Amino acid sequence: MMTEKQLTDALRRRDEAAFRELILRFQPITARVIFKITGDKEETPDLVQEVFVSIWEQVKNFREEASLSTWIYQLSTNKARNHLKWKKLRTGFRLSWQSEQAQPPAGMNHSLNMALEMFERKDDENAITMALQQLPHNQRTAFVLSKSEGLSNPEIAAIMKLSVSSVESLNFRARQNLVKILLPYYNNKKS
Amino acid sequence: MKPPQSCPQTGELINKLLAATDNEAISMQNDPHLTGCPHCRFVIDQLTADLEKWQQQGPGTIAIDPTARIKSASANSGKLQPILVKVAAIAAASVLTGLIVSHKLIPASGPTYRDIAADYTLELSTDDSFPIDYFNEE
Repeated sequence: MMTEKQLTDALRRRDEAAFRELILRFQPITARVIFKITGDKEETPDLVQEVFVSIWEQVKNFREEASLSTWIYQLSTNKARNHLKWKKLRTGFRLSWQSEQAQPPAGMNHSLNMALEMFERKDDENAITMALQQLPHNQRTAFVLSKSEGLSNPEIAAIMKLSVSSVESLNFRARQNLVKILLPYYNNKKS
Repeated sequence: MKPPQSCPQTGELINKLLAATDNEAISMQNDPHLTGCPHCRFVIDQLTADLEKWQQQGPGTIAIDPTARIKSASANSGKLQPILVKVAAIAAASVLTGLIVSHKLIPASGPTYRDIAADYTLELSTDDSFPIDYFNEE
């Protein structure tokens, strides 16, 4: 098995065997992250494929300031964000708050109602998946990388190109918003 | 006895579980409040199950073949290159022809800016057309 450095060098030489190894090694991570951020099972394979094509095309410009896995996480989270932006534009449906400065109380009530309606319609869906779709993209990404991928705050900061304190703040706000969504859901479920 | 429908500590416990590492989540099960509060116990058990399910959740086995796409992209870029070279050569030839033709057709000894400016300079002492006597009339 090649090291990340060997793999990167081989990709720069346009070694297709190395590219296949890269896919085998990183496809599960890429698919998991994209799926958990977008919540879109149908589009995930196409998005994963596009990430790997981007790696092949951009590996010459990869400056190795970060590790290969950090770079792949960056490409995956960016791909997921761009997909959501495009989807939002296409459908005109408000999936997330436009910015961190949005009014949480009004947005939260709207999101909360929407989430509860969705839970009622799709009882088999996971509550966490549905609640995450109500969070702003940055909060969702930080939460997925932390809770699903088990990455540390400095690692997430490198992927999201933020300071460690910003990542801590994003995770804190993500949890607060999730509590606001999940608490009425579980209370209703019990009754 | 029917368990209570809500508890003021549930939100705080949800937050704690969401922030917890795997080991912390396990030790949270022995939280003294949970042993005495059936509502919080229910919510935390549900959330723990949902979190575990979510962590294991993925898009399933996905069949992708980006190698085919990069090969076709390389093949297309190979086909595109001669076309781009031809287009660039035609554009350069057109610009060159235009420059040559314009150089040949436009006479070099046309009126200059200075000539035109001189034409319109008002020389009061020599300009006959200016009715200077008008001002001298009483």
